[in-house]
Amino acid sequence: MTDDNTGLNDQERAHTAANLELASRFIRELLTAPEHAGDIPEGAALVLMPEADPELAFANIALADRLSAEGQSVIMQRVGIVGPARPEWQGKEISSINVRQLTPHWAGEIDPEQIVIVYDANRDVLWIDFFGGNARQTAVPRNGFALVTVNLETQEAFGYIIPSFVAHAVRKVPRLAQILAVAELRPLTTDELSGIEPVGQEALDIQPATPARITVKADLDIMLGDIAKLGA
Amino acid sequence: MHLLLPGRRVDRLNARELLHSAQPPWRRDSGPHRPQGKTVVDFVIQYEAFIDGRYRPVVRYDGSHGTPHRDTLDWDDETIKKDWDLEATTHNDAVTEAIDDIQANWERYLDGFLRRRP
Repeated sequence: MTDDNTGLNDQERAHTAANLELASRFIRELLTAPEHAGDIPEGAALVLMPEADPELAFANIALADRLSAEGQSVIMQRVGIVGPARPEWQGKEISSINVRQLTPHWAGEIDPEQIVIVYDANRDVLWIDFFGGNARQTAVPRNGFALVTVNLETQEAFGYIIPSFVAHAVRKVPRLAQILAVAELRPLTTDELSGIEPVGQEALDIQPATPARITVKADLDIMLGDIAKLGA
Repeated sequence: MHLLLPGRRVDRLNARELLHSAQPPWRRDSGPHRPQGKTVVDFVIQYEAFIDGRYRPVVRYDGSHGTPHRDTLDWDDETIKKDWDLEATTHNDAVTEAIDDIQANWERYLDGFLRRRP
Protein backbone atom coordinates (compact mmCIF):
# COMPACT_ATOMS: atom_id res chain seq x y z
CA MET A 1 0.00 0.00 0.00
CA THR A 2 1.34 3.41 -0.85
CA ASP A 3 -0.55 6.43 0.33
CA ASP A 4 1.86 9.33 0.00
CA ASN A 5 4.55 10.83 -2.15
CA THR A 6 7.28 8.70 -0.57
CA GLY A 7 6.10 5.51 -2.27
CA LEU A 8 6.79 3.46 0.87
CA ASN A 9 4.48 0.66 1.91
CA ASP A 10 3.62 -0.09 5.53
CA GLN A 11 6.38 -2.66 6.01
CA GLU A 12 9.05 -0.44 4.47
CA ARG A 13 7.93 2.43 6.62
CA ALA A 14 8.01 0.22 9.73
CA HIS A 15 11.48 -1.12 8.93
CA THR A 16 12.89 2.32 8.26
CA ALA A 17 11.40 3.66 11.49
CA ALA A 18 12.74 0.69 13.44
CA ASN A 19 16.20 1.13 11.93
CA LEU A 20 16.14 4.84 12.70
CA GLU A 21 15.40 3.90 16.29
CA LEU A 22 18.43 1.58 16.19
CA ALA A 23 20.54 4.34 14.64
CA SER A 24 19.42 6.68 17.37
CA ARG A 25 20.39 4.19 20.07
CA PHE A 26 23.72 3.49 18.40
CA ILE A 27 24.67 7.15 18.16
CA ARG A 28 23.73 7.61 21.80
CA GLU A 29 25.98 4.66 22.62
CA LEU A 30 28.74 6.39 20.67
CA LEU A 31 28.23 9.52 22.72
CA THR A 32 28.31 7.55 25.94
CA ALA A 33 31.09 5.13 25.14
CA PRO A 34 32.80 5.71 21.78
CA GLU A 35 35.15 2.81 22.41
CA HIS A 36 32.21 0.47 21.87
CA ALA A 37 32.10 1.52 18.25
CA GLY A 38 35.14 -0.67 17.72
CA ASP A 39 37.34 -0.14 14.73
CA ILE A 40 34.88 0.94 12.12
CA PRO A 41 36.65 1.55 8.81
CA GLU A 42 36.17 4.94 7.20
CA GLY A 43 33.32 4.88 4.74
CA ALA A 44 32.06 1.54 5.97
CA ALA A 45 28.39 0.78 5.77
CA LEU A 46 26.97 -0.16 9.14
CA VAL A 47 23.99 -2.46 9.25
CA LEU A 48 22.61 -2.30 12.75
CA MET A 49 21.35 -5.44 14.40
CA PRO A 50 18.51 -5.32 16.94
CA GLU A 51 18.52 -7.29 20.16
CA ALA A 52 14.99 -8.60 20.05
CA ASP A 53 13.36 -8.12 16.66
CA PRO A 54 13.88 -11.26 14.54
CA GLU A 55 11.99 -9.94 11.51
CA LEU A 56 14.08 -6.79 11.36
CA ALA A 57 17.24 -8.79 12.03
CA PHE A 58 16.57 -11.09 9.07
CA ALA A 59 15.87 -8.11 6.82
CA ASN A 60 19.09 -6.43 7.90
CA ILE A 61 21.17 -9.59 7.51
CA ALA A 62 19.82 -9.96 3.98
CA LEU A 63 20.81 -6.38 3.28
CA ALA A 64 24.32 -6.89 4.67
CA ASP A 65 24.67 -10.01 2.56
CA ARG A 66 23.57 -8.21 -0.58
CA LEU A 67 25.83 -5.21 -0.04
CA SER A 68 28.78 -7.46 0.71
CA ALA A 69 28.10 -9.38 -2.50
CA GLU A 70 28.22 -6.05 -4.31
CA GLY A 71 31.71 -5.49 -2.93
CA GLN A 72 30.93 -2.93 -0.23
CA SER A 73 32.69 -2.88 3.12
CA VAL A 74 29.93 -3.85 5.52
CA ILE A 75 29.95 -4.06 9.30
CA MET A 76 27.07 -5.61 11.20
CA GLN A 77 26.89 -3.78 14.50
CA ARG A 78 24.80 -5.03 17.39
CA VAL A 79 22.96 -2.29 19.24
CA GLY A 80 21.81 -2.22 22.82
CA ILE A 81 24.58 -3.94 24.72
CA VAL A 82 26.08 -0.87 26.34
CA GLY A 83 24.86 0.23 29.71
CA PRO A 84 25.98 1.11 33.20
CA ALA A 85 24.68 -2.18 34.60
CA ARG A 86 26.40 -4.26 31.97
CA PRO A 87 28.05 -7.21 33.73
CA GLU A 88 31.71 -7.85 33.14
CA TRP A 89 31.14 -11.14 31.34
CA GLN A 90 29.15 -9.34 28.67
CA GLY A 91 32.30 -7.49 27.71
CA LYS A 92 33.34 -10.60 25.82
CA GLU A 93 30.22 -10.62 23.67
CA ILE A 94 30.73 -10.00 19.98
CA SER A 95 29.08 -6.70 19.11
CA SER A 96 30.49 -6.10 15.66
CA ILE A 97 30.99 -8.39 12.68
CA ASN A 98 32.79 -7.57 9.47
CA VAL A 99 30.59 -9.02 6.76
CA ARG A 100 32.54 -10.62 3.98
CA GLN A 101 31.17 -12.48 1.03
CA LEU A 102 32.74 -15.91 0.66
CA THR A 103 32.85 -17.35 -2.85
CA PRO A 104 34.84 -20.56 -2.50
CA HIS A 105 36.30 -22.24 -5.55
CA TRP A 106 37.94 -25.63 -5.78
CA ALA A 107 41.63 -25.51 -5.09
CA GLY A 108 42.48 -27.08 -8.45
CA GLU A 109 41.77 -30.04 -10.66
CA ILE A 110 40.50 -32.96 -8.61
CA ASP A 111 42.83 -35.92 -8.80
CA PRO A 112 41.17 -39.17 -7.69
CA GLU A 113 44.51 -40.29 -6.27
CA GLN A 114 44.40 -37.41 -3.79
CA ILE A 115 40.91 -38.00 -2.45
CA VAL A 116 40.68 -38.80 1.25
CA ILE A 117 37.45 -40.15 2.67
CA VAL A 118 37.05 -40.82 6.38
CA TYR A 119 33.94 -41.84 8.25
CA ASP A 120 33.88 -41.23 12.02
CA ALA A 121 31.23 -43.64 13.26
CA ASN A 122 31.10 -42.25 16.79
CA ARG A 123 30.34 -38.80 15.53
CA ASP A 124 28.44 -39.99 12.42
CA VAL A 125 30.53 -37.57 10.39
CA LEU A 126 31.88 -38.13 6.88
CA TRP A 127 34.89 -36.11 5.77
CA ILE A 128 35.86 -35.93 2.11
CA ASP A 129 38.97 -34.05 1.05
CA PHE A 130 39.82 -33.86 -2.63
CA PHE A 131 43.33 -32.50 -2.20
CA GLY A 132 45.30 -34.89 -0.03
CA GLY A 133 43.69 -34.46 3.34
CA ASN A 134 45.78 -31.76 4.96
CA ALA A 135 44.11 -29.82 7.75
CA ARG A 136 41.89 -27.01 6.52
CA GLN A 137 41.17 -23.63 8.05
CA THR A 138 37.44 -23.72 8.55
CA ALA A 139 34.19 -25.08 7.24
CA VAL A 140 31.16 -23.18 6.03
CA PRO A 141 27.66 -24.51 5.40
CA ARG A 142 27.11 -25.63 1.82
CA ASN A 143 23.49 -26.63 2.28
CA GLY A 144 21.32 -28.17 4.98
CA PHE A 145 23.50 -31.29 5.09
CA ALA A 146 27.09 -30.52 4.16
CA LEU A 147 29.81 -28.03 4.99
CA VAL A 148 32.59 -27.05 2.64
CA THR A 149 36.13 -26.91 4.03
CA VAL A 150 37.85 -23.72 2.91
CA ASN A 151 40.83 -21.48 3.40
CA LEU A 152 39.39 -18.08 4.24
CA GLU A 153 42.33 -16.15 2.80
CA THR A 154 42.52 -17.83 -0.59
CA GLN A 155 38.84 -18.86 -0.61
CA GLU A 156 39.94 -22.22 -1.92
CA ALA A 157 37.62 -25.15 -1.18
CA PHE A 158 39.01 -28.58 -0.42
CA GLY A 159 36.14 -30.90 0.34
CA TYR A 160 33.11 -31.62 2.45
CA ILE A 161 32.21 -32.39 6.02
CA ILE A 162 28.84 -34.07 6.37
CA PRO A 163 27.56 -34.28 9.95
CA SER A 164 24.82 -36.81 10.72
CA PHE A 165 25.88 -38.66 7.60
CA VAL A 166 23.93 -41.86 8.16
CA ALA A 167 21.20 -40.32 10.27
CA HIS A 168 20.28 -37.66 7.70
CA ALA A 169 22.29 -37.61 4.47
CA VAL A 170 22.00 -41.35 3.71
CA ARG A 171 18.33 -41.29 4.56
CA LYS A 172 17.91 -38.48 2.07
CA VAL A 173 20.04 -40.11 -0.66
CA PRO A 174 20.46 -43.84 0.17
CA ARG A 175 23.14 -44.53 -2.46
CA LEU A 176 25.49 -42.23 -0.54
CA ALA A 177 25.93 -45.22 1.80
CA GLN A 178 28.19 -46.71 -0.90
CA ILE A 179 30.82 -44.16 0.07
CA LEU A 180 31.33 -46.06 3.30
CA ALA A 181 32.69 -48.97 1.30
CA VAL A 182 35.70 -46.90 0.28
CA ALA A 183 35.97 -44.76 3.41
CA GLU A 184 38.55 -45.15 6.08
CA LEU A 185 36.77 -45.86 9.34
CA ARG A 186 38.34 -44.01 12.25
CA PRO A 187 37.85 -40.99 14.51
CA LEU A 188 38.44 -37.62 12.91
CA THR A 189 40.85 -35.15 14.46
CA THR A 190 39.86 -31.61 15.35
CA ASP A 191 42.11 -30.31 12.58
CA GLU A 192 40.49 -32.59 10.03
CA LEU A 193 37.14 -31.23 11.14
CA SER A 194 38.44 -27.71 10.51
CA GLY A 195 37.94 -26.85 14.15
CA ILE A 196 34.24 -27.65 14.28
CA GLU A 197 32.80 -30.28 16.57
CA PRO A 198 29.55 -31.60 15.13
CA VAL A 199 28.39 -33.71 18.08
CA GLY A 200 30.62 -32.86 21.00
CA GLN A 201 32.17 -36.29 21.42
CA GLU A 202 35.24 -36.55 23.58
CA ALA A 203 38.59 -37.01 21.90
CA LEU A 204 39.23 -40.56 20.83
CA ASP A 205 42.39 -42.42 19.98
CA ILE A 206 43.58 -40.94 16.72
CA GLN A 207 45.32 -43.11 14.18
CA PRO A 208 47.38 -41.70 11.30
CA ALA A 209 45.28 -41.23 8.20
CA THR A 210 45.66 -43.72 5.40
CA PRO A 211 43.86 -42.11 2.48
CA ALA A 212 41.25 -44.26 0.82
CA ARG A 213 41.07 -43.82 -2.91
CA ILE A 214 38.35 -43.84 -5.47
CA THR A 215 39.61 -44.99 -8.80
CA VAL A 216 36.42 -44.89 -10.79
CA LYS A 217 35.81 -41.31 -11.93
CA ALA A 218 32.14 -42.01 -12.56
CA ASP A 219 31.59 -42.84 -8.89
CA LEU A 220 33.15 -39.56 -7.87
CA ASP A 221 30.95 -37.57 -10.22
CA ILE A 222 27.83 -39.29 -8.94
CA MET A 223 28.75 -38.70 -5.32
CA LEU A 224 29.64 -35.07 -5.90
CA GLY A 225 26.35 -34.57 -7.60
CA ASP A 226 24.48 -36.27 -4.78
CA ILE A 227 26.20 -34.15 -2.14
CA ALA A 228 25.60 -30.95 -4.07
CA LYS A 229 21.93 -31.83 -4.37
CA LEU A 230 21.46 -32.83 -0.76
CA GLY A 231 20.11 -29.51 0.35
CA ALA A 232 18.00 -28.90 -2.73
CA MET B 1 30.04 5.78 8.72
CA HIS B 2 26.79 5.09 6.91
CA LEU B 3 24.00 3.76 9.06
CA LEU B 4 21.76 1.91 6.67
CA LEU B 5 18.00 2.03 7.02
CA PRO B 6 16.66 -0.92 5.06
CA GLY B 7 13.39 -0.47 3.32
CA ARG B 8 12.84 -0.92 -0.37
CA ARG B 9 15.28 1.91 -1.07
CA VAL B 10 17.70 1.42 1.83
CA ASP B 11 18.03 4.99 3.01
CA ARG B 12 20.87 5.85 5.37
CA LEU B 13 22.20 8.22 7.98
CA ASN B 14 25.62 9.54 7.14
CA ALA B 15 27.39 10.30 10.40
CA ARG B 16 30.92 10.56 9.08
CA GLU B 17 32.22 13.53 11.03
CA LEU B 18 30.81 12.18 14.25
CA LEU B 19 32.85 9.05 13.85
CA HIS B 20 35.92 10.92 12.69
CA SER B 21 35.61 12.83 15.89
CA ALA B 22 35.43 9.69 17.95
CA GLN B 23 39.15 9.59 18.55
CA PRO B 24 41.27 12.75 19.05
CA PRO B 25 38.47 15.32 18.81
CA TRP B 26 36.59 13.62 21.62
CA ARG B 27 37.39 15.51 24.78
CA ARG B 28 36.97 14.27 28.33
CA ASP B 29 35.25 17.02 30.29
CA SER B 30 36.50 17.78 33.77
CA GLY B 31 35.83 20.18 36.63
CA PRO B 32 32.90 20.49 39.04
CA HIS B 33 30.54 22.18 36.58
CA ARG B 34 31.34 20.08 33.55
CA PRO B 35 29.06 17.27 32.45
CA GLN B 36 30.39 13.75 32.68
CA GLY B 37 31.29 11.77 29.59
CA LYS B 38 32.67 12.73 26.19
CA THR B 39 32.20 15.93 24.25
CA VAL B 40 31.50 16.11 20.54
CA VAL B 41 33.55 18.89 19.00
CA ASP B 42 32.56 18.28 15.40
CA PHE B 43 29.79 16.44 13.58
CA VAL B 44 27.75 16.08 10.44
CA ILE B 45 24.67 13.90 10.43
CA GLN B 46 22.56 13.74 7.33
CA TYR B 47 19.60 11.70 6.25
CA GLU B 48 20.13 10.36 2.74
CA ALA B 49 17.45 8.72 0.62
CA PHE B 50 18.31 6.21 -2.08
CA ILE B 51 16.50 7.55 -5.13
CA ASP B 52 17.07 6.86 -8.80
CA GLY B 53 20.13 4.75 -8.17
CA ARG B 54 22.09 6.86 -5.73
CA TYR B 55 22.06 8.32 -2.24
CA ARG B 56 20.76 11.89 -2.12
CA PRO B 57 21.16 14.03 1.01
CA VAL B 58 17.76 15.25 2.13
CA VAL B 59 18.51 17.07 5.35
CA ARG B 60 21.82 17.74 7.07
CA TYR B 61 22.69 18.68 10.61
CA ASP B 62 26.07 20.36 10.61
CA GLY B 63 28.22 21.37 13.54
CA SER B 64 31.46 21.68 11.63
CA HIS B 65 31.40 25.47 11.20
CA GLY B 66 30.73 26.66 14.72
CA THR B 67 27.05 26.94 15.53
CA PRO B 68 25.12 23.74 14.84
CA HIS B 69 22.42 24.20 12.24
CA ARG B 70 20.13 22.25 9.93
CA ASP B 71 20.34 22.47 6.15
CA THR B 72 17.40 21.46 4.00
CA LEU B 73 18.78 20.36 0.65
CA ASP B 74 17.71 20.22 -2.95
CA TRP B 75 18.50 17.61 -5.56
CA ASP B 76 21.88 19.21 -6.36
CA ASP B 77 22.95 19.05 -2.71
CA GLU B 78 22.50 22.81 -2.48
CA THR B 79 21.08 24.29 0.72
CA ILE B 80 17.64 25.79 0.13
CA LYS B 81 16.95 26.54 3.79
CA LYS B 82 19.25 26.99 6.75
CA ASP B 83 17.79 26.76 10.26
CA TRP B 84 19.78 28.14 13.16
CA ASP B 85 17.01 27.78 15.70
CA LEU B 86 18.10 24.51 17.23
CA GLU B 87 17.33 24.19 20.89
CA ALA B 88 20.69 22.56 21.53
CA THR B 89 23.47 24.73 22.88
CA THR B 90 26.21 22.11 22.76
CA HIS B 91 27.34 19.78 20.01
CA ASN B 92 26.39 16.80 22.17
CA ASP B 93 22.84 18.07 22.48
CA ALA B 94 22.78 18.99 18.79
CA VAL B 95 23.65 15.41 17.84
CA THR B 96 20.84 14.15 20.04
CA GLU B 97 18.46 16.75 18.63
CA ALA B 98 19.46 15.82 15.08
CA ILE B 99 18.74 12.14 15.44
CA ASP B 100 15.53 12.82 17.38
CA ASP B 101 14.36 15.17 14.64
CA ILE B 102 15.25 12.84 11.79
CA GLN B 103 13.63 9.95 13.62
CA ALA B 104 10.43 11.96 14.09
CA ASN B 105 10.28 13.73 10.74
CA TRP B 106 12.12 11.64 8.14
CA GLU B 107 8.95 10.91 6.19
CA ARG B 108 8.06 14.59 6.02
CA TYR B 109 11.59 15.47 4.90
CA LEU B 110 11.53 12.73 2.28
CA ASP B 111 8.11 13.74 1.04
CA GLY B 112 9.20 17.37 0.72
CA PHE B 113 12.38 16.35 -1.07
CA LEU B 114 10.50 14.24 -3.59
CA ARG B 115 8.11 17.12 -4.23
CA ARG B 116 11.13 19.29 -5.09
CA ARG B 117 12.24 16.88 -7.79
CA PRO B 118 13.36 19.01 -10.75
